[in-house]
Amino acid sequence: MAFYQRILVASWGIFLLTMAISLSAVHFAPGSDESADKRIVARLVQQVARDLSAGLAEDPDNAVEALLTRQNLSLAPLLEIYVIDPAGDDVLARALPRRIAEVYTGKRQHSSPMLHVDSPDLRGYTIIGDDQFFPLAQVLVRPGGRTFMLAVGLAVSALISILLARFIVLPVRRIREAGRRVADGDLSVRVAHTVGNRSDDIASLARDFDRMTEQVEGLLQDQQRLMRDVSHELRSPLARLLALISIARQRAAADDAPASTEQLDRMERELDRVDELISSILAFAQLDHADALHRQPIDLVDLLENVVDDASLEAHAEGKEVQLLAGSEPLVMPLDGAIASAFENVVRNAVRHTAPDSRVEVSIARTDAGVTVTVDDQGPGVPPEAITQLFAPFFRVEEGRGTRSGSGGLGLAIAERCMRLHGGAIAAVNRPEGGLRVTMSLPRAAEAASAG
Amino acid sequence: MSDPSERTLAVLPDLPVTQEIKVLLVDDDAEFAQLVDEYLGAEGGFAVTARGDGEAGARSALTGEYDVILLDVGLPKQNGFSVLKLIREQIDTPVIMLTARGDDLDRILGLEIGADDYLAKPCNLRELAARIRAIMRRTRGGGSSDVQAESGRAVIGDLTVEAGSRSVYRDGELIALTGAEYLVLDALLAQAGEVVDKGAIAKHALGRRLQPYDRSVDVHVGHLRKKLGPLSDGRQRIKTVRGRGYLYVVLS
Repeated sequence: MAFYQRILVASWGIFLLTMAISLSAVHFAPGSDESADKRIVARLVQQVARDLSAGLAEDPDNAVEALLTRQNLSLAPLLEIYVIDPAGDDVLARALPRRIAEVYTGKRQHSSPMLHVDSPDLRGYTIIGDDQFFPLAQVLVRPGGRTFMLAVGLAVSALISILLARFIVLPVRRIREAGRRVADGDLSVRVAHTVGNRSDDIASLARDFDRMTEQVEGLLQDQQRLMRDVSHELRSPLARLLALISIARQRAAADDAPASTEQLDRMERELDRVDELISSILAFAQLDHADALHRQPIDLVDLLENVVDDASLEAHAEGKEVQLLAGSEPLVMPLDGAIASAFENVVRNAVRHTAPDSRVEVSIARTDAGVTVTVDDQGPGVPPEAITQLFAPFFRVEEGRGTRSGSGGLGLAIAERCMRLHGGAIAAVNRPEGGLRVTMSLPRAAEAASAG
Repeated sequence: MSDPSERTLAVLPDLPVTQEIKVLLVDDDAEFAQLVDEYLGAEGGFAVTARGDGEAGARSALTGEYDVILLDVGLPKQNGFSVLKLIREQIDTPVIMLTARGDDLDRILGLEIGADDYLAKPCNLRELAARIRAIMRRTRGGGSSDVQAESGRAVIGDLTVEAGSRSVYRDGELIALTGAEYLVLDALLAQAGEVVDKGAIAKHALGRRLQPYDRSVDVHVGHLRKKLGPLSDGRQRIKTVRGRGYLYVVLS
């Protein structure tokens, strides 16, 4: 069944149910006989009866006509007052509804005896009020009737809406939730099984969603496989090239040719760079979703100690320093080993950009939420418009910071991805006193990143 | 980095290697193997045999006629780790794993299974030759240390070390250690109760200088901690001394 049919049925359902409930309320509501509108109706009938009997007493021949000029006998849809002459016909020649005829012939009691006047004063005339046309109308004119209708309408539509929601909104929400998870990089989500054995638009939406996700997953896997394969394949020629350079160097040394040695050194450095780029591409590709993390207890203080030690070695060559400000007690968290390269990349980046003879400061702080590691350099900082793009793959800040050497421009992207997969975050800000501050935060709770 | 332990740790004899070092290279890139052969041949003192896949590599390795095995991780059919496992089940020939740069998991796994050292490929062949020599110095030189020099048997706390067979017992129970792990422990025990810096440990256990971003010593220490367990009072047996190195705790 398609949506629009469902919705149509539902709105008809609301309408009919409201009617039915209101009608039965009129019929079965306690005190409806004694209710105000019944009394009004009875008064009208009594009035007609009094008028007629007075008229008949005064001028029997013209009594009916006089009555008709003074009283309105048809108050549809509220009330019809039948004035039946001794011959058994209505004075307005209206056909008697069956139940009225039956009351007239005495086959049944009028449901409101007050509306049946058959007194001797009427000289053979009988007056029967019929208030049964359309009870809904009575409901509407009753004091509080509209409120009652409104309440019933609301209750019924609420009920139907809940049913509709269960049918439409819930599955749609599930699909939306799945969409969110897909956006967070979990392409293994499937929703078709959640809609059961339905065969409507929602079910086809779910199936289409699954097909789409499967396709995208396949494409992405192909892409990542391609990237990995390409990177791996590149390594073999690279290894041969480096071996060839080693041989050339061996020969140059034997021939005592320092000039070519210098060329060879430069070649080797370039090859090194290509190799580093390949490994960072592979590292980046491996960090594709939180399931890929192998968490193990890692002491952050110890890890940063190592990173800072290593970075110091590199920094000393340029007269720069790296300092770690951390307490001595260990800080063990369940992390993936890749976190080391995240910190390493950020620290090395800071060392690269900090001014000669200046210092990079790395500090660890425990917060309520977890742990924050900050890396401050004393470099030129980053233009404000570039700050947000700093963690994009291969992003280079052109002005102020010359083209970056070394890291192939994936270092900070790897750091960002790694923090995100651990449920943490990374941000950069220019310090007022100059230089860049990179803040990395890791949540205390070792919850999977896909949860947030 | 100064090396304060040089005085106490036996300086490894830099013996001129007289015999030819027999190298088995297991690598699927025949061209690369050819180049390694060419380079080491020109260096002199090496004889290289190359095998292109894991099975053939394992078969040759198990003949026991090689001094050192260079094992590429990314082998077809049977990867380097399973070959290493096969080799380690039977013989102790030193193994250098050729891993990809930045693949720390591979390195740690290799060291765990019992590789003696690793080298990132693509590598500079001069570095490769240096590594092979370092390992040979270590094994042929017998890794002579003070502990061993004094007697064939040393007892430190609940540990008993038999230098001759390079075996370690805890409370009489044999603890299986790889060659590198044994030497790391050896370096620590030689100065039990004192801080030994990582550079000195690397020199003693790996026969080479520690390079930046090189975690091998830390990995070996981690494995030793796991294999040896805590001390009888529940404390960590090998303490990390931040920024300085490691220390083997002696119960007073």
